[in-house]
Amino acid sequence: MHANYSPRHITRTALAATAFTLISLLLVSTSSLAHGPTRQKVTESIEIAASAETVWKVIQNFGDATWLPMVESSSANLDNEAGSIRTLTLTGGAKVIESLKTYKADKMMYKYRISDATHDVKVLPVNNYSATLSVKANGDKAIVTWKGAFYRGYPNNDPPEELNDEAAVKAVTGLYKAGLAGLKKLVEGTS
Amino acid sequence: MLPNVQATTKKTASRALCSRGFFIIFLALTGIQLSVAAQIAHATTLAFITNQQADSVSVINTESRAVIGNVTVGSEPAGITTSAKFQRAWISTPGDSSISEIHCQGLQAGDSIVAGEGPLAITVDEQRELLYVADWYQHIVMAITIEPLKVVQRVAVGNSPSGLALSPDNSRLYVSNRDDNTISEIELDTFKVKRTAPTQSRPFGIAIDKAHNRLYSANVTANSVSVIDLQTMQAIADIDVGDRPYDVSFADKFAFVTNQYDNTVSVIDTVKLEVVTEIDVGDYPEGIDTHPDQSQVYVANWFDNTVSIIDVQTLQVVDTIDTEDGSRAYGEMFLTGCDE
Repeated sequence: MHANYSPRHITRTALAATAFTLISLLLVSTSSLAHGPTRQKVTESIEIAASAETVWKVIQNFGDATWLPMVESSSANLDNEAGSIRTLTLTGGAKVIESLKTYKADKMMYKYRISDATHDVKVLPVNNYSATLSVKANGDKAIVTWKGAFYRGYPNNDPPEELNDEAAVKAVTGLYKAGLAGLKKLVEGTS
Repeated sequence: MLPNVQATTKKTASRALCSRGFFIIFLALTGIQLSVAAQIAHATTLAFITNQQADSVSVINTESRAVIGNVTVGSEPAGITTSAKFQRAWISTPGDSSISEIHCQGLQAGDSIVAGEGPLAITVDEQRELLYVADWYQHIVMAITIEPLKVVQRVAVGNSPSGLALSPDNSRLYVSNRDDNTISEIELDTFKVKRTAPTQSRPFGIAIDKAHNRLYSANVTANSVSVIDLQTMQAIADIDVGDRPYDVSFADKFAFVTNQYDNTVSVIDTVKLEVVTEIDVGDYPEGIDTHPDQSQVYVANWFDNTVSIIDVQTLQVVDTIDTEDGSRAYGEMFLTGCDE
């Protein structure tokens, strides 16, 4: 877990660039003392003008994450079974490997994580990342909620700016906002 | 218990003015105020919940199950321990490497000190009038005097010490060394490590089953609990629990274990050493502790910013209380008998 990261070698991938561009003006920076990693969390929700079932159908296949604007292609080895591993290929070619932890079709939710062993903090500046995606009905509309918990990209004290708590929260927030906005557009545009 | 001199003096003085004259005022000011103190003292139990992202501690009155105050302390409050004898709670705040105290009367933040580099686990030794704090980065356990707060002793333990538990007879302190997969036993009279026991991978929260003289460690990456006989300092069982277990507490014949990634609490029968059920709680359950009356177990849900209350008889969640952002409450959260 305590890998050495070189602060000077950060290159922004398409994903990170999208994230940073989208939210750099929106985010209020929260200062925190650079002393020891603390788990961070992000929750983002969006209302979509469609039934919860309609929205769930778009995102229900863990192996198909192409509803995300930044995902070029994706596939999973065990579909929606717990333990299924999916590989996302992002615009620009970077890959993210995620494993399905819990899948509850009746509750329209699934939880998955990124294994640190196969994760590149240059793609998303986080460690020990897990996320839950869920859909709930709100009248005749749907509320989609995306929740993530993670540590910053640099696990030791005195992180470089690109891998500190703030950078991690910013990147995940940007990913969720862009992802949910893309989903809304996709569903509302075709319904 | 220490009487609240200021508050009771005022009340007594005002009553005395109405009815009994200056002689009573004189008595009141010299400290004879026991009857009034007795009238207003309650054996209420408070629960202190550290909220890591909010930099606060939510204080719950466990009778009304209402949050009666949120106290701002340090940066990223995490660990908690309490003492009725000293009428206060102490909080580790790893974000500024400090220990802070909160006086239960009026919920006032008191002194704080910088303690090492990464203080997390904390526990109070009322008998020796010391706090013990494990430092995640310096791989030591510190002894800190209570008044004033001052680090007076340090002992090297294993790598990344994460959990602390005092032996029931107050003679030994146990420490989980997360990155060594061991438990260290410190003899408190000498403040030296005497014995070490291996666990499965990444032991974090620990607690002692007094009825069987065993220590349980929640092993974060093994998804198990190691059970260590404290007589022999040998593991006698490893019990599979949920995903990413965090901490342990005992009530009745059960051990309750929070599983961070499963949003559940595993319930272990401490006689049969097997899991009997799992209880759904909030997202990312972390700190867990048993109410002093043994009827309920409180669980801090880090993601949801709530506390789940589990009834020990029915093994059901009976209530959920809103706290502030990032509730952890890692340690001993209950204080009974705060003088009011």
